[in-house]
Amino acid sequence: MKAGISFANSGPFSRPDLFAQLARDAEELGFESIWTVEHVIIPQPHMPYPGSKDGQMPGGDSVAIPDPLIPLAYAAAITSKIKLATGIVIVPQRHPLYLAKQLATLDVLSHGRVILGIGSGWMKEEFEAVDVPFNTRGARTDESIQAMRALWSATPASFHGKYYHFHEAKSLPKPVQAGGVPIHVGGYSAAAARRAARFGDGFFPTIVQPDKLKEIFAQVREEAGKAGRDSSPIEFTAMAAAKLDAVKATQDVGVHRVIFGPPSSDPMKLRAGLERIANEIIAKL
Amino acid sequence: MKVGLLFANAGPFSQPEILAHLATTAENAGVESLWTVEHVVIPQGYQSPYPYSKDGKIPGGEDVPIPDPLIPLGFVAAITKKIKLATGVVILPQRHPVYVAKEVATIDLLSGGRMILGIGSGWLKEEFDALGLDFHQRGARTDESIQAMRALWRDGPSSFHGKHFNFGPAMSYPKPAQRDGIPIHIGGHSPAAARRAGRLGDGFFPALSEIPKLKELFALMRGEAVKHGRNADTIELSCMGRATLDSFKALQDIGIVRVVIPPPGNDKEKLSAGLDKLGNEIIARL
Repeated sequence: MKAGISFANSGPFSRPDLFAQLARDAEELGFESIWTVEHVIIPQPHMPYPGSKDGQMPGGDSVAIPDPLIPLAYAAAITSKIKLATGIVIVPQRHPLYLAKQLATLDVLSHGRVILGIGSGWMKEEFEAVDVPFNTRGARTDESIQAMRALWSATPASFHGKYYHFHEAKSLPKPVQAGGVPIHVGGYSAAAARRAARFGDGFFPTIVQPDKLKEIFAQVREEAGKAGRDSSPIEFTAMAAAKLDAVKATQDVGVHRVIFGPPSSDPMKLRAGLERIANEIIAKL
Repeated sequence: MKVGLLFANAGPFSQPEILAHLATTAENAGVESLWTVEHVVIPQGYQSPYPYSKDGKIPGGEDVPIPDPLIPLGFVAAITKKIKLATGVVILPQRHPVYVAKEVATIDLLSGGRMILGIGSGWLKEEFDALGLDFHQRGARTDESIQAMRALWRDGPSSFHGKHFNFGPAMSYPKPAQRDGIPIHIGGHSPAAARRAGRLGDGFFPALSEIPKLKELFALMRGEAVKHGRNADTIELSCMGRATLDSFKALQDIGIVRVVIPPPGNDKEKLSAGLDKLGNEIIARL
C-alpha cells in the first residue's frame, strides 16, 4: 500500500524551511507522495465548508493556502523519487490551456512524478470572485479533463466544447509520463464517482469510513461498466487516521493509497511523527 | 548595474538539469536575475506579427518548448539563495489576477522575497482567441489586473471592483514576503507600455537596446509619471543588451539599471564558460 502526506503546502507548511523538511523527510522515510490543497481566495462571508461539522475552514479564513503547484516545483528540485500531487486543484476555476501547461512543466521538471488530483469546487463565492458561473462547474470539469488530455497528446491540439474551444494550438513541452499526467478525481458525491468512472486514472473520495468507501468504490465500478471502461486500473486513494487498525480497514475495502495529515508542524517533532507512521503503520501493512 | 538572463525557461532550459545548472552557475557568476518568458499556446499558422524580430515570428519556431513561466521559478527558488526570480513577461490580461497574485506570492514566500513580476499585455491575437478572451480589452484588463493584485497583496481582507475583475471583501493568504508587495515591471516598447509604466510600474523593461528609441520611451514614461504625481526616478529601468562592457556602459549612461541578455549557451559546458566570462570580464567591472 502506498502512503502520502496531505496539506503539504498550507498553514505552517507554506514556509519554505518546514515545507522542504516535510518533502525531504517524507521521501527519505519511504512515503510515496505529498499532496497540496487549494483555495485561491476566500470571500467574506462564504457558504459553510462541507468538510467540517461547524462549517469553518480548518485554520480559519486567513490560513495560508499557497498556490498548489508552485510548491510542488520547489519540492521537485530537492527530491528525486516522491510523487508530487495536488489534492486537489479546483479545475473549473482555471482555464485548461494554463493548467495543462503548468502540469506539463512540472512533470518535465520532476521527471514524471506528478499526479493531478482534481475537484469541481464547492464554494460558490470563490467562483464568483474569479468570474466563473458556479452552476457550470461540473460540465467545465469534464471538458477541462478532455481538453488537457488533448493538449498533452497532440501537436497541434484542438478541442471544441461548450466552455473551452481552441483549434490547432501548440502546447509544448509535453508531460514526461506516457499518456499525460494521471488525473485523480476527488470528492465523494455521486457526480465525483461518475466522473472518476468515466475519466479518472484514480479516485480520491475525501471520506474515511470504510463502509462508505466500499459503497462509493462499488458505484465507481458500476459506472465504469456502464461507460464501457475497465475499472481495475482506477487507483483508489483515501484519507485515514494515523492508526494501524484504521489503515488496515481502508486496505480491506480496496484502497491502494492512504493519505495522512502532517503528524506535526513543529520542526523538532515532524520527523519523529513521520517515522512513527512509517515504522508502526506502513511497515506493518 | 545589474545583469539578468532572459529565456531562462524556454527551449533547452525546459529540462531540469540545464535549468538547475543555469540558475546555480549564474548565481555564482554574480548574475542578479533570471527572467522567464511565456506563451501558453502557439496557435498553428498564427498571423499576428511578433514585435521583437525582423521576420515577425517567434524565435525557435512554433514548436519551441515554452514551459509555464512561474513553475520553473518555484523550482529555482529551492536551489538558489540570492538570484532574483523574474518573469519577462507574463501575459497579464490572459490570466485572472486572483491566480497570478497567489502564484507570485507563493514564489516570493518560498524564495525569501526574490520575485519580480514582469508583465506584458500580449500581442498574439490568436492566443487570446484560444482562451476565449477579447484581444481588444487587453490594455484595460492589464491596468485593472495590476491594481487588483496590489489589493490582494496588502494585509487584511482585499477588494477590487473594476469593469473586468470584481471581488471582495476576500481573504488571500499567504502574502508576499516583500512587505510592499511584489515589484511589477512593465514590459514592451509601445507608447502604451511606456505610459503604463509611468502610471503603474515599479519598473519599465522595453525589450530592445537601441539608445535613441529607449530615450524616447523613457521620456514618455517620465511625462506620464509626472502627470500622475509620481516620482519617475523610482521606476527602475531595464532593457535588452549585448554582452560587451562598452554596450553596458553606454546603457548605464542613459539611466539603465539592469541589462538583460540571453544565456551564453544551450548546454552545461558553454553555459559554464560563458557565465564565467560574463562574471569576470563584465559584471566584475561594472
